[in-house]
Amino acid sequence: MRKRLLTISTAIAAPLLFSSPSLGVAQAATTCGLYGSVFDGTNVTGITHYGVTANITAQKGALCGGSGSTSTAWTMIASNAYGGYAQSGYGHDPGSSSVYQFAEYLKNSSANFVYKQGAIVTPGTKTNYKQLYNFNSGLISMWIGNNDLLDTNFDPAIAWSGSTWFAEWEGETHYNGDDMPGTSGTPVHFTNMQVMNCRSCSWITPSGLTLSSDSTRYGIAWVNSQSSFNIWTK
Amino acid sequence: MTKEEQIVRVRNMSLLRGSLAIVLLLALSVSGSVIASAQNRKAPSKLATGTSAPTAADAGVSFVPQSPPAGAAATNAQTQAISVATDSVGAMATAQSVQVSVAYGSFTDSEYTGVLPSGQRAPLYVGRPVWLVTFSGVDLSPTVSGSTSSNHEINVAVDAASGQYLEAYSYQ
Repeated sequence: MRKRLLTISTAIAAPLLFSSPSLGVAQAATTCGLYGSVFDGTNVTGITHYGVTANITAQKGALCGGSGSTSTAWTMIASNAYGGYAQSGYGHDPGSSSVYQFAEYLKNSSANFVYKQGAIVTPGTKTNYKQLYNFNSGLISMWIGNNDLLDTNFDPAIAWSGSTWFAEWEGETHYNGDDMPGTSGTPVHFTNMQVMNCRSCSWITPSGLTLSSDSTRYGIAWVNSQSSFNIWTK
Repeated sequence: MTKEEQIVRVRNMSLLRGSLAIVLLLALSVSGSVIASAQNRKAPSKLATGTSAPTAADAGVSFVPQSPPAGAAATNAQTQAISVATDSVGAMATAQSVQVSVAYGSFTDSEYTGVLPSGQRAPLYVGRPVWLVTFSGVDLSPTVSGSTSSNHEINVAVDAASGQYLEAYSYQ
């Protein structure tokens, strides 16, 4: 089971070890290293984001095979103060032959998370992922394309009261030896990145984003600053 | 046969993966029934269930166990469902101490919805006959704290008619 719990502090954790290039063909390192979420992406904080979205191309990252190994990419709304989140994306786990779309939420750091795995996604396919707060129901819906896969069981306006909700676009592994989805030849594309910042607001391109990678094994670069970027394993 | 006896325990599944189908066939031929360990709940208002201990309703799903089809074909379908489910969740389903159970019944996911041209939402799965494969005692990926989160449950719904994977979910 994946668990993509993260906080701002973990998202900008210091780079880890290893440097095992895999040009063109995904090839995970033979050694996993220490367990811990390793991120490759960006986020924006400071104000509450009621919606976050991007198109993400699917790629199957090779895994080092450790317990909890994973290779994922997703978008997310999360609480700055409570450790809660709602996200959707895709991922690949050891022992599974395919890449699956998923959604997952956590009310706060002391709650159990709820996870749902949707359809198989073919590598190379571009899909829109979106989290959107519904002001009528009080829930965050986690969308994959034209399908709402999962809704939170709590109203973040209450559960995360006093906390801003940040928006995030990330690739994630659980070991530095896992490959981030994408290679230098076929990187993962995050495109049409947008946020919604108020109830009556339109979707807009975010600003103030800075790309960050936790590992020197992983690459990240803007294609168009603030609206599209690539990630890959070097 | 008690419920506990019906549970097919597969320890060290990484070593027994190749013989999983045989084990299950033997167990099921003896029991002549399947296990109904899954939830049987309607999905109420989600906000009403917004506690720190999520239920199936918090994943938007409900499952109503039913008597499974009889005969060898059904047994084969059940075995195939386990194989499909195992592949869909990967190595976490084949770790040591993981227990596998299967139930036949009607599956609904009220949240997994598509948007019709009219703008209305339509659930993808309503009253779908499925084999619900449940993996218990699963160690989930450690959190950022670095500790392993153990003894969780993953459910996989496999279409009873086609044998195709539908979805998987976990809430405990």
